[in-house]
Amino acid sequence: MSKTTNQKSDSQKNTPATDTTMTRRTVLKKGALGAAVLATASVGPWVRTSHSAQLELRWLGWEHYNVKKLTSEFEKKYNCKVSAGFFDGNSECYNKLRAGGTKDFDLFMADGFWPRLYFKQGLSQATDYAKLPNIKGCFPSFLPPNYNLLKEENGTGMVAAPNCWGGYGISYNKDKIAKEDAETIYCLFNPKFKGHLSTSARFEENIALAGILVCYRMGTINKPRPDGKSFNPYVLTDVELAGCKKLLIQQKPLLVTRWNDEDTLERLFRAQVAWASPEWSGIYRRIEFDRLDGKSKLNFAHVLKPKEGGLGWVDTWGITAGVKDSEKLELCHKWINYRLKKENMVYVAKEIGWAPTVDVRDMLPERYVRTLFLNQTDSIKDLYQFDAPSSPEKWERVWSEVEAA
Amino acid sequence: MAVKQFLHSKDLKALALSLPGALFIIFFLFIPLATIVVYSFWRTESYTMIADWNLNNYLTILTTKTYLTFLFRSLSMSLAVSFISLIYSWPVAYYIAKYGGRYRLILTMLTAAPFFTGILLRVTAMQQILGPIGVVNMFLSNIGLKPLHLLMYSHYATGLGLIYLWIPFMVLAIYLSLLTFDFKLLDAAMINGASPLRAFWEVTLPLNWIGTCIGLALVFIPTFAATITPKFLGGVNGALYGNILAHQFGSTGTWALGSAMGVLMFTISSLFVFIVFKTVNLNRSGYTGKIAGE
Amino acid sequence: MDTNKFLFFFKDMQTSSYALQLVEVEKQFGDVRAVDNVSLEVKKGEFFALLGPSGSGKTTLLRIIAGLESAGKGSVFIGGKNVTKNPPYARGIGMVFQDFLLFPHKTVGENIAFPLKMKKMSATHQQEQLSWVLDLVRMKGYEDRFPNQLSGGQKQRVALARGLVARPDILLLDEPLANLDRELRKEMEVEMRRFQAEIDIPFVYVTHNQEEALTLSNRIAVMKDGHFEQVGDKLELYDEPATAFVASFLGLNNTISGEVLRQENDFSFIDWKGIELKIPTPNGIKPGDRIAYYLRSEKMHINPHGKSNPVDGSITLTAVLRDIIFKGQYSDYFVILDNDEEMVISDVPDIESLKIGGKVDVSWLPSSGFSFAADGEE
Repeated sequence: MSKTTNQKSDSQKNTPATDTTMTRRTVLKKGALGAAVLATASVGPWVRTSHSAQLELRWLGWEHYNVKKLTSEFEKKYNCKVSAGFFDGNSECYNKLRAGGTKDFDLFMADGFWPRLYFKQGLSQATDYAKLPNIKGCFPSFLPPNYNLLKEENGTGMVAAPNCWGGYGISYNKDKIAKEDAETIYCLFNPKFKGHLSTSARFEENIALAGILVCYRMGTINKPRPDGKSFNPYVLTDVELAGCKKLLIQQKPLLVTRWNDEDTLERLFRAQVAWASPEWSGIYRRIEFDRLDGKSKLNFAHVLKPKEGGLGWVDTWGITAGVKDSEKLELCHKWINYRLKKENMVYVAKEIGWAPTVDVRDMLPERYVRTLFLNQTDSIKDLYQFDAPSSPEKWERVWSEVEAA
Repeated sequence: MAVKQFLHSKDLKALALSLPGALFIIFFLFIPLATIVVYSFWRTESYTMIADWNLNNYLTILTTKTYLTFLFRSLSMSLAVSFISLIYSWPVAYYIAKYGGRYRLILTMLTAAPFFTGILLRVTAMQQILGPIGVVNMFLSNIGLKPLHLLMYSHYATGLGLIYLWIPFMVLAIYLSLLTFDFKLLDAAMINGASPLRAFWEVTLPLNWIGTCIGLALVFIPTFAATITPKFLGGVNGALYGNILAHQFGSTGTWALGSAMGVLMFTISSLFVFIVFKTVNLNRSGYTGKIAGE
Repeated sequence: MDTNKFLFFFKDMQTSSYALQLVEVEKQFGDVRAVDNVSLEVKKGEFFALLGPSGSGKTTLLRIIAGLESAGKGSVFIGGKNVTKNPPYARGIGMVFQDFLLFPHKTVGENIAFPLKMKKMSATHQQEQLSWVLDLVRMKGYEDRFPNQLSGGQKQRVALARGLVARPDILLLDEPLANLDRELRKEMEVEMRRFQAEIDIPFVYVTHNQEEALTLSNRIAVMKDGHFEQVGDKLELYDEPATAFVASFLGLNNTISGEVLRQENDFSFIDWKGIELKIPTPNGIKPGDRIAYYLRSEKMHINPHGKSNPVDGSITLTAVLRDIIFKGQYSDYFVILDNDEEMVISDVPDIESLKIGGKVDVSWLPSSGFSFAADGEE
């Protein structure tokens, strides 16, 4: 055992001879390991500073948009580093940004009413569409005057740029449910399909969808609303909520179960135990592709917008208020523009499975165009954006009463 | 002078040694509990907590039919699961303790083996077994019988799932107690006229009662607080107290009401443990140390 | 009446007069035959000892009688009834165990009353019986104590009380005094005889301690390798052992063995490591065979050398006194003979003339020992 100048072994001089040999050996091993780790870790920054200061872009968004191929291509092209943080839902993002996230992140993602909210609260800054040449490729459905949620509420600036979109329509088994029965929210409440319906366990969407149906029947959808804004199924009056409760309680015996994860629903669909359920169309797409490939005989369809109305979403990229440096601001716009590039959108559509807001119909096989509803983008104006309940307390009470019944 | 004495005394050592444990309990038990108790008297409005002292939360959960329904569902589920676990665990633990021989350790590890995989995995596995397209029902339809509706998305499925999850605790508690049980006492009992059933009731059970109580508590408490199991296996009518409580914190942001529910849950669980352990008489449990009161 | 029927009827009558009867009982554990074709009758009121070394099968036999083990072959009759197929709780027996096996979670009173509770006896009746048996074992006043508050002797008395309270047909005892210290054991031996005489319930007492068996019992069965070597009155076994094993097991023996040199009348002369000894001839022994001779220590006399006055026909040998163990009424003297063999003599103490290291004479009558053919076991 060669003498070691390791500090630790000095402090063990007083231990008995037999122990010392073992401990020195282990200590030497640990010391060597530690040194190695230190060395490799420290090589990084040293190597970096040998180049001129490299910009780092940090974005906060949904994990499925983190595409390694796109990230590394961008890094190489613009000689920068891109890192990402993730959240499950908009409220998480909101809390993060409020708690100092504007300094930690340069870009964020959000859908529905959230981009406007962030801008109003000073958490984000304007997106200059002039700096986004690829925005021209977007479907007009997602730009003003057709889609206005990305415009400042009382102004002309844009608060974010569109990314992908989708609905929360009803996927159904064509062999079990007739078309006219399926194209209404009532499909989910129809006693004809007792024991073969399913919904997600999320109470917000369940009440909202019921709300659309209730208000449609009551005729209050197109009448002026108490808060003066246009109809939002997440803002319901007490009478309307009571109607939802009644409907949802009636629905209970018709359901197989409520699913917590998409896997469960997919299994229920494929076993033909469940015949209809609202979902984000991903399961429908998988089953349909299997049918086209001859792997399955199941014949499913998806109703993007039921006759009463439906839920939908458009998600976006935005720039946080923490970006002050002009060079960084440029890079942010370059990123957004890059993600709007047709080829990149095609990649997202094929690999991740979300429908792009950019018109890439000529670049995608027919099955994608059809199952991503790229010929129906104008439906978005009749789809209500996902939101949070106006009164969580009231909605909690309603849901508890539904669950207890 | 007194301070200096203290600094060198054994008392300081004792304090220093107990401090980490005490701090842990203070920070991770008392303070969170205290916070929840405080919240239970406040209220929320649109995801914000407002320090408006009131008793409405408690009034709601203790008097409205809705919340009482959940309480009743969970209580009956917990009691049923505890009781069934008891019936099942005793023979298993008895067998391992008496006949296991050198395989005892392996057998006990096997009972505990499912724990290595974590709750969520085990529950989803149960879904695979019990569900409408699960192993059991597929088997039934293969032999021409209708699938058992009982097993799919119902309270029975939840119950089965909960029993499956928590039985290892009870088996282990009873098994550990049986390890120090002198089985020869049963010879004496039988010679003296006790049939095997009576011998169990007069000798085995009383001498292992503490272990049984511990097992009951270990099953009742998590069952009463069950969230994930009823969520996945319970179906539309399967929401239990734990689900609604979790909902308050996870989805609706109604923390105040949720805190009141939490306080109630804690109280009921404690009450159960208290009642169960009240039945323990140290003199009558084969406790061979000093008799209480001697 | 047909003779067979008559005999059967007669046998039946005979059976019912026995408290315990074993008929050709056998028990095998794998390759080992623990109990080998054992038949036994124990009368009412007897104190019967099953004596043997460990591994002789005595505990197994007891457990078979109790019903804790099942007999491979044979039958068990208790109080005249065939209980071979009965479980232990349907045999009408009591049992006392070596480690007492009192229920730690019950009081003394509850422990003792347990068999009565199992019989669903009324509370007053239970109280009566409890009272009687506590008197018997002299443990009145201890009803509310718990077993871990009792001493060893007290525990054994409670165990005894529990075994007797239901007035069983027989009481089985499995080395009950083995866990008590020596003094207590002596005391309990006396107590046991008193209990048994007072209540007239037969005791079947298993022990490896021959002194205990001789003190307590009326009849003894000496067991070896699963079978009975000899069964009979204790004095009979002591004074007329049927086999070498029985002879060597009871009492304090000097074992002498040697080859037969010549024979004269009923006696043989053997060569005991150089000393020629006269020994009664066992059956079928010829010159050239080996004999094993067992001489009880109390049948010998010891005197200072030259001062002996033996009875006619005695053998006298000189020896050197190696050690004396004083036992009160007598002493055990350990001597070394000229042929370097050691003998032990139990005789009246004589502190004055017998000193360690001194020369002594030891004498005995040849007919006072037991001789058997040596099976090569020595």
